[in-house]
Amino acid sequence: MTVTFLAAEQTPNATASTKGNLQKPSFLVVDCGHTNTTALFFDVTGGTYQMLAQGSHVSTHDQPHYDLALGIQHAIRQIEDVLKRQFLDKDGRVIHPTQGSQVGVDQFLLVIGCAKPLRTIVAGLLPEVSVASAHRALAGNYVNLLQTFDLTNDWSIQRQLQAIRRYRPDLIFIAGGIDGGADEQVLQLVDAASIGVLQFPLLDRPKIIYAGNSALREKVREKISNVASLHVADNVRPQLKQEQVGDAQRLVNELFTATNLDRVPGIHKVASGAETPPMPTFQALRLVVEYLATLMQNNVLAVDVGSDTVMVVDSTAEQTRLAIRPDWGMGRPSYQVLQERGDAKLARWLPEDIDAEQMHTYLLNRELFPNTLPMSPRGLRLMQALVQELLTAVVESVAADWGWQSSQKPQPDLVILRGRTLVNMPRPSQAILAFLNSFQPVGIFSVVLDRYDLLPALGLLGMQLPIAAVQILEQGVLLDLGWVVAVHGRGQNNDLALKLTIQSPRLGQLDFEIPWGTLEVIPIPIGEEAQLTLKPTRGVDVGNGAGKERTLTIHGGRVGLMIDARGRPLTEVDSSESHDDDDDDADEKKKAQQQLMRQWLWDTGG
Amino acid sequence: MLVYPHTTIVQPLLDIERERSLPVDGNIMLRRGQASTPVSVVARATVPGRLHAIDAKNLLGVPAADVAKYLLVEPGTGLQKGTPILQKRGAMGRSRRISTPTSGILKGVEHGYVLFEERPRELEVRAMLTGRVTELLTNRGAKIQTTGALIEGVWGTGRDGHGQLQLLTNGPTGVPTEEQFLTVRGMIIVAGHLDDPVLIERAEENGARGFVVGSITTAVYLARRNYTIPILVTDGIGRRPMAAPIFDLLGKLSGQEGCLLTQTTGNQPHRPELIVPQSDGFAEYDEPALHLAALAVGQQVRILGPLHAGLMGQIINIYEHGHQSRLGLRTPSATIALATGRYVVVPLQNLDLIM
Repeated sequence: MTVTFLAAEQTPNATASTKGNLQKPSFLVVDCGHTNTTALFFDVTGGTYQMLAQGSHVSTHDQPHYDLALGIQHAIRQIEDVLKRQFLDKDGRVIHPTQGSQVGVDQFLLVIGCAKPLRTIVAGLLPEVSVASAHRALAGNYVNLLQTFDLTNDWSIQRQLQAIRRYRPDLIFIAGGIDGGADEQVLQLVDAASIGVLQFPLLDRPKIIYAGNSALREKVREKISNVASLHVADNVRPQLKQEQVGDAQRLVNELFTATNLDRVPGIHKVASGAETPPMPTFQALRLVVEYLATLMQNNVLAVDVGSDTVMVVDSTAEQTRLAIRPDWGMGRPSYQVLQERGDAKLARWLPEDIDAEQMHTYLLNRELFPNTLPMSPRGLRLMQALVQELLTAVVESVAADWGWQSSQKPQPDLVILRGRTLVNMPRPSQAILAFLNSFQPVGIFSVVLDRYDLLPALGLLGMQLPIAAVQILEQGVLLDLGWVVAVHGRGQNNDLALKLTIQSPRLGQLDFEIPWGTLEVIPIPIGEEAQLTLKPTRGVDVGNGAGKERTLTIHGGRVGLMIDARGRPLTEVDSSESHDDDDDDADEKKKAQQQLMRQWLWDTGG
Repeated sequence: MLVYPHTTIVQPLLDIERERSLPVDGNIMLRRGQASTPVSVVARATVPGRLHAIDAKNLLGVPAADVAKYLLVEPGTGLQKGTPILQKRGAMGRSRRISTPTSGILKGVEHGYVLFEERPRELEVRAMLTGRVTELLTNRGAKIQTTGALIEGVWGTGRDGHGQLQLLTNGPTGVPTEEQFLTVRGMIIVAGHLDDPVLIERAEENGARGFVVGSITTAVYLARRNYTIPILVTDGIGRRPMAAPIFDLLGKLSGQEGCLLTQTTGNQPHRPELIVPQSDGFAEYDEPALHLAALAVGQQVRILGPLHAGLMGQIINIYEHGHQSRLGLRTPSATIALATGRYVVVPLQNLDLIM
C-alpha cells in the first residue's frame, strides 16, 4: 500500500504539471459528497504547501438541478471571493493552468462521493465459505447488497428470477466451488443469472462477475457471454481455507467507476477539465489513511459518518480494511436506520425520554431535509443517539471479519473522525464519546477531527504530489482533540482502576486516581507536551499488559486527555425491549440508563 | 459571499415544461405541437410479463441439450394455462407431461430450462397537463409545456393525478372531517394537516382524486403504500402548519383544475408538485432560474428544521461567518423576523427560500 501512494511520484500523473508551475503546481481539489460539495485550494507559500481556502455548497447532482457542475462552481466562487483570485471562466469552467498570479490553477482534481452504489445480488454456495468471501470482496467497495442466494436459503430458480426482476441489480456476483470442485450447483447459479438477465432489455441488463470455480470458466462464458456483459475474476475461494478477493475487488471497483460514477448527472462537464479521472471518495479516503498508517507505522482508524454513507477505514503498515454502508447515514437514510435497528436500540443512547412518535417524526423530517441542523437540545440528543447506533451497527457488521469480538476490541494509535455530524458536535468531547461508546476501543490513542473535510482531497492530492499532502498534514489542518486512555478489563464500580501522573512545563505535576466505571477529562492545552505515567491496578491493561506501568509523551488538544475507565464491553448499554409483566422494572432500568447517559455526557463536558 | 439555500417554488404563473415518459421503449401517441389534456395518452408500451423457468431437464430426466426435442409447441406460441408443452414417452406407454403454469408465451429453451413468459401488460403515460407538446422523446414520451401555477412539495406518494382543487380547511393547520368528503368526487382535497390514514381511505371511497396537505402524521406516512390516490405534502411530517404563501395561493386556486405529479422518477425527475394550468397570462419568471436564487436580506423564507418548523419570516441579517447557537454550534445563520413579531436566529441550512 505504501507503493500505491508513494509510487505515484514516478507515474506520468505525478509529473502532469507540464503546464503552469512545473515544480510546485497549485491544486484546486473538489470533493462532491451527497449533500455538500467542498472546494479546497492548495498552493505553496513560504516554501511549503498550505491549504489557502475552502468553499462549500450544497451538492447539485440531485433534484432540482441534476447538474454536479453548479454546486462545484458555487463552492469555487466562495474561494474566489476569499482569495480575490479567478478560478472560473465565463462559462463556469475551471481555468487551468495558471495564467498570471491571480487567475486559474495548475491542477484541478475531483473526488466524487455522490455516485449511487452498485446494486448487487450475490449468488454462492455455502454462506460461511464462498458467500462469505464474495461479501468480503464487495465489502470494500461502494456496493449495496440487495440479496444473497445460497444453498441454505434454497431458492428455486423461479424465486431467483423474481428477485432479479424485482431488484433490477447493476451487478450479479457469482461465487462458489473451490477450483476443480463443485460444478453442478455453481452452474445452476449461472443458469439463474443468465436467464434472469433476459428479463431486461439488452442495454439495461445487469453486469455479471464470475469469481467461482475456475475450472468452469469456459462453461460460464458459453452460458452468459451472449446474454450479458460477463467479467471473470480469480476464484474468491480457490481452496476451502484459502481466500483471494483482490482480483474480484478490482473488477467491482472498475465496474463502479465505469458505470455508476460515470452516471452522476453533470460529471462529464466537470470531469473533462480535471487533470485525472475523478476518484471515488472511499478510495481517496482509504489512500490517505493507508498513507498515514505507513508513515506513522501505527494503526490508524478513520470513521466517516456522512449524510448518505458511513465508512470505516482501519489501516496498519501491513493491511488496510474498509467497511462501507452506502445505504446508511445521518441524512436521507436516517429513518431507515431507525427502522432497521428499532426504537429501543436508538433510545438506549438517549439521556432523556423522547417518545417514539417524536423520534419517528424527527427522523422522517430529517429524511426530507437532510441538510438541516438540530436547533434544540432534544434534536441534538437524537442526532447523537443516531450516530452512536449507526456506528455500533457498523462495528457489529465487521466485528467477526475484523476480529473485533467482545474480548478483542479495536486498539488504534490514531483515530480520525470526520463527517458533519461529528465535526459539528457542539463540544468535540461529544464526538469522542460517540466514538468510544460505539467502537469501545482499548489502549492509548490520539484523536483528530477532519474539520475542513479535506482528507479525501489529500488522498487524491497525494497521488499527484505526495510531498504536498505531507506538508499540508503537518500544518495542523486536522484538529487535535487530544488523547484517550481506554482501560481494558473489568472491576467493581468506584474501586481503583489506575493511577496516573501528568507532568508538563505549564501544568507541573498532576496526580489522579481513576475509579472503575468513570469517564474523566483532564484538559491539556493545545500545543502542550506532557509526560503521562499510567499505573494500572492488578488485572487492568493500558496497552502494556495487565497491571503493567506505562509512560509516554502526549500532546494537548481541544479536549485534552480523556480516561475511559468504564471497562469493556460496555454492558450497561442495553437495548432490550420492556415486557408487559415487568413494566415497572423496565421503567426503572430505562431511567437508570438515561441517568448513565447523562452522567457520561456530564463527565465529558456536558 | 453568495449563499444558495434550499429553494421551493410557489408561483401563481410560470412557464412550466415537464417530461412525461415511459420507463421502457414504446410508441408515442402525440405529435409535436399538439395540444394535450390531462387524459391524453402520451406514449404506450407493452411490458413483458413475468418469466418462468421450468426445469425441464430434471423434470424429464434428460440432458439439457435434448430438452428441445420434447417440446410439443413451437417457441413464440401463445398458450392458455394448463396447456401441455413438453412430453416424454417412457416404457409401457407411460409418459411424462409438463403443462404451462399460467397463460402466456413459450419463449424457448435455455440451458435445459423451458422459458415461459406471462402475458405482457400494457403501460401508458398520460399528459396530466393541459398544454402543448414541445418535444418528442424518442420511443419514450414527450415534453409538455404549460403556463400556470406551480407549488413544489417536500414529499409525495409517488402517484400522479388530476382533478378540481377544493380547499376544505379554514386555516393552514386545519384537519378535514369525513363528513366533508361526501362531495369530493373528482376533486383534489386541500387541507392543512392529515392525522389519520382512515381519512384518506374515506376520501378514496368517495371518489377523491388526491390530497394537497401541509403535513401528515407518521401514521399517515407509514400507511403510504395503501393509498391509491396521490398525496402531496408541502411542509413535512408531524403537526406543521402549511406555509402561509402556499396556503394563500391554494386558496386562490380552489375550484380550478390541477394536476399532482408526485411520481418523481424518470429521466428528468422533479420534486413532487402541484401544477394548475392557466389559460391566459404571461409568466414573469423562468423556473430553473428560481432554483438558483441566492439568499439576501429582505427575502421571505420558511424555517425547515425543528423549532419554528414551517413558520415564515423575513431575513433581517445574515451571519456569513457564523453565529453561535444556544447549543454551542457555530454556523452561518440568519436573523429571521417571524410574522408574530418575534426574532429568531436560524442556521442557513435550515432555511428554505420560497420563490
